[in-house]
Amino acid sequence: MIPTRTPLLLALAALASHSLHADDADRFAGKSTSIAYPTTDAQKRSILAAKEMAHPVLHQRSPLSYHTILRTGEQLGGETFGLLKDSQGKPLTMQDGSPYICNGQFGGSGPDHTEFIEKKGHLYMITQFECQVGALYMAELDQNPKTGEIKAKNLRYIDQGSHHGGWVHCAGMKTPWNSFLGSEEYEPDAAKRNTETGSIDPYYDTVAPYFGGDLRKANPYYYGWITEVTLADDGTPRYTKHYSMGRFAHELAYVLPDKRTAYLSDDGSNCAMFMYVADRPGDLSAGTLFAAKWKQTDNRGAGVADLEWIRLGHADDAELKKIVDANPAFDEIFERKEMAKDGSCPGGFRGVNTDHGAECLKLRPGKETEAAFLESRRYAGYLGATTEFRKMEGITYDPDHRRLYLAMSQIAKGMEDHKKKGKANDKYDRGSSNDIRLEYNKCGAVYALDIEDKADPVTGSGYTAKRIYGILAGVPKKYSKDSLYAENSCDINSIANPDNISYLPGSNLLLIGEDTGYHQNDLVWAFDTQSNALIDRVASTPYGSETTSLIWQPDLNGFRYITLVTQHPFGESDKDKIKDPSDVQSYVGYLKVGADKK
Amino acid sequence: MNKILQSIQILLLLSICSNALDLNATRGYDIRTKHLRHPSAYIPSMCYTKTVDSQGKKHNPCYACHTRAKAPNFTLDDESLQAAYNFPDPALKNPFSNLFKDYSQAVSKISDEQIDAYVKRSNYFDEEGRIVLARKLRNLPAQWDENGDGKWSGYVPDCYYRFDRHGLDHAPDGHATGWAAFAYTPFPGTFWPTNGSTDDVLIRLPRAFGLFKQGGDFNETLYRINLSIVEAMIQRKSIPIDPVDEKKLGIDLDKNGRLGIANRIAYEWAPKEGKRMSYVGEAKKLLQEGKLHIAAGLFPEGTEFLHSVRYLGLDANGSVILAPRMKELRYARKVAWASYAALHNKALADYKEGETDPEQLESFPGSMEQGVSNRMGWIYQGFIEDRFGSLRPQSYEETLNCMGCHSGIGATTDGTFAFARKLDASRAWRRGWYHWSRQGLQGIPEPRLHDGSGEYARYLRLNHSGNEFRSNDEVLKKFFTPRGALKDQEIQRLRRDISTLLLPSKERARKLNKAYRALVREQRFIEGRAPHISPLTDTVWRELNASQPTHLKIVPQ
Repeated sequence: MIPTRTPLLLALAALASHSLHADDADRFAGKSTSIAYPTTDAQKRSILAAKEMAHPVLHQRSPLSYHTILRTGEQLGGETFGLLKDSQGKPLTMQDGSPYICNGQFGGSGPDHTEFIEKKGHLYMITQFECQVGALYMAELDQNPKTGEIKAKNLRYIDQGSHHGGWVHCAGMKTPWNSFLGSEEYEPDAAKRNTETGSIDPYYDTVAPYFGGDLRKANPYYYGWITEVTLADDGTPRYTKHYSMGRFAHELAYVLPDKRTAYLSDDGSNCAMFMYVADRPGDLSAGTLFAAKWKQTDNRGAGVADLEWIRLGHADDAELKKIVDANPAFDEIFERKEMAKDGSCPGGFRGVNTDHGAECLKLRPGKETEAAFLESRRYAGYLGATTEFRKMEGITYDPDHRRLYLAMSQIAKGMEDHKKKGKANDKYDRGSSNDIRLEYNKCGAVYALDIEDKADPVTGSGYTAKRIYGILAGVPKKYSKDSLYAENSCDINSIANPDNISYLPGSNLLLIGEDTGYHQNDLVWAFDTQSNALIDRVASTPYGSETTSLIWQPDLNGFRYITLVTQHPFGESDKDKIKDPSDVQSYVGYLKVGADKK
Repeated sequence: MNKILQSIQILLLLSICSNALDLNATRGYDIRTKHLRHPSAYIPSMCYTKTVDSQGKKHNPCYACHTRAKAPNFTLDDESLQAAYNFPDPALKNPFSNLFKDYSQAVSKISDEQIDAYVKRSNYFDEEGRIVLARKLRNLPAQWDENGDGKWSGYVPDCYYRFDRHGLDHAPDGHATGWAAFAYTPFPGTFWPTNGSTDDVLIRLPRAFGLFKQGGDFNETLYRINLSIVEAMIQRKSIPIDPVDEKKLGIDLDKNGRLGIANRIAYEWAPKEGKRMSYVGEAKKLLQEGKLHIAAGLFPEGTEFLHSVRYLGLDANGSVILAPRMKELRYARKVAWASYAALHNKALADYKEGETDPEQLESFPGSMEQGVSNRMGWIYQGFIEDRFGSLRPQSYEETLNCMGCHSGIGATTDGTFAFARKLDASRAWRRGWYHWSRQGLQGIPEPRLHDGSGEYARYLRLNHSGNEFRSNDEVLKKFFTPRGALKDQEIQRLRRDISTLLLPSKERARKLNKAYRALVREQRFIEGRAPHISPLTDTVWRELNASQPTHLKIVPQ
């Protein structure tokens, strides 16, 4: 009797605890090219990947497998992966003597963008770290010619001292000229700097150890830039900051095939969309910076708008570095006053509403260059560009359709029409031109931007986006409390808070990675750009973790990979021992697409 | 025949099923559920207190928790939470609806005799002195089995509350369980018995702290020295001990430069300047091997706390004492070492998350069986009464209720409260290593602030009340004049003896016991578990606006 009892008992118990609603169905369950949405504790705590990937370019289904290359804290070649250092190259330690490793442990920040770069037959990997004192590490890799398996064989710290150190490095890309283009997010608000102590807020103030503990030696304008690492033929890294690409909360800069035009996303509330046109192809050291004006033509869903580009200024890195090195102050660039409740400003001042709040600004005479490049977002608002975007994230280019894709984590706050979460609220549109007027969607959206095929008279670029429209929006959903998916508040059959995105050229496939609290596990999706539909749920990462650096590597010596960096993963399943599930390092790894070579 | 057999089988199965899912003791609440009815449950009900009363008078109980943190507590800018209800949007509506309920009728239905008898009867031990929960957990009821594996994977209570003269607990067979009782000054507010409960806190270090070497016998003297070393690291001061021969331990405990007889643990710790501290015995070896760590303000890996929250017991004279009956049994274990760097990095990420995504609720991984992580290396777990008064495991959501206080506030030391408040070893009876059942709160002087003023008096002054909900009329009457000024005479008495403030009258004690008994019967702890009689409508917000100001002046430390 016992054997028959147990399954029936379990089945009844399951029925009792999870009533199945028809609209709760997992549309991707049962597909070999998808994973089912993780429902068991074990599934929620591991990296899951579909067994195979449907990829038209391969003309076949390809098996997928996940591999780790490096974990933070790992030692190699005398260096520790993720260890932060001060301006003198000395490892940062705390009062207890513990080394400061940017490792994502206990939910802290960790490694972010990672790129494979080939140089003269050698394969390298560059990783940037998202801590306040930023860090860049480079590993030399070994690729198994038979299996394609990748291992790190040497590690090197890339010093950023020539540009006052790094800061909260976020996403990036490999440029068409094979360099690593990185970023610094969340630029500190220079207007809040205490001139005596150098303090701004507890977040910024933690750069002090980089300067031997003296905050007065730091300057907020040192941070919030695009960075680039170029490898010499022998693999020696050359590092720089591209001041001419502007200063804001850089998610990333994405360079288009003309090697001159770059689109830059700004991550925060009330942010702007930027475009940079370099003077010379393959050289980002001088150019013109523009910000977009959203001219809404359709308010349905994620919306449709025409884009007008407003010129902020032209500069080169060298002249801006001189300005930055001279320890500038906000007051030298703008005069600032409180905005009235009705959004009005005193005479001579203009209302600007950005991530730093609503304020009235007046440009100091002759400070156009400083404003355009050191206070790019504020100056964009000052000149009438749209500063209403909410958490603008990943960018990728689709050469097959001449389209750019852009992830918007949420449609919220400034993107609503004098509302917050659908309720009347003036905070994010007060004093601004309120260009974006959409319905609140906490699950976010992916946009497409059509790229013109001719030189634009305003930007001078042959890759100017003139129209933006939503192609995919997440679906807010309330699951009943006894549903298998009760912990999710965005539909499990669609995206939630898209972050990193990557187009696979020649395939019509767009990979979308999430950074969300509305799906219990962050997911990776495959979106068909032809049918405008999600076709597969490709992977999921452990509960509470964040996936970054989702990049399609179409051909590395005949192998195909998708890189994947997993920050603060909440523990792997370990049934025998109670562990703190948050006590885990972050890992940098990849999904191998396809079989081993025969 | 076969059909009859089959029907019997099905009937049998159904009866097993209904037994398996018997939720009578929790009034239908399935404690195994991971679904959060109130995902913001980690923000405790006290945080919803109205800081300005109807007369415009300001009350600041917030500063007690939200204060400028001291490393390695890196909670950033915590004191600013005194100034505004900076709740994530989903927490703006107060989920603790029990606070607005009227328990006066339920209270009036329980007689004094009934409640006294109830409170006196232990729900921890059975009549034979066995630990009830331990027996139940070994034979796990289906309604407690979260993952259906038939096994309990969390803490099994193993303390006998039989303490020797050093505060060490012993099992009936005489062996030391490792649990050590200590006396402390209760944290201001809710944890004062006058606000509803008595409690005790016990600490335990891993077995290695009682061993000279692996495989040896547990040595209580060695263990107590290690406890004092931990005390020195947490309180950041030198700690007196019974004289010990340092040669036997191979360590200069009093840091006088030679190995001799030491009668104190000298606290000198600045590893970057070469000033190090160490444990003794096997733990010292593990420290050297990197398997254990030591740092100011942090407990070693494997440290456990056991905290029983109890009813207000009454002795023969009607004075309030620790009751045998537990309301809750709370447990914490440090399962991972979080270095200063890791804690710092985590605090910064939390701060930025709060800034960029203020609507997002915090998440605390874990489960009902394994406990919930505070994301700083500790796992928390709890047991609470079922409707009949027996202890049962807390659900994930009920446990989540602990996490707000044990993670991101400035007032804690390594996420904990009591041990940093242990009575001063150089002054207290038995160096503070005793259980409240041996000696109560009477005669304990008021803890002092740096400027010499009284810590509790400051709470009364800033809060104009004895608790967060301002529902304690007894304290109000005793300590404040009708015009609201503090009575100097009472404050002077308080300086010498904290029990004058902390212990309620027997009448108040009985009322609070009854009110909590009514809460227990309802089993709706997720809607609030603070005992009260009249609805707290006047002093607690039902709903808040985003970033609503408290109108309080920030008290930095």
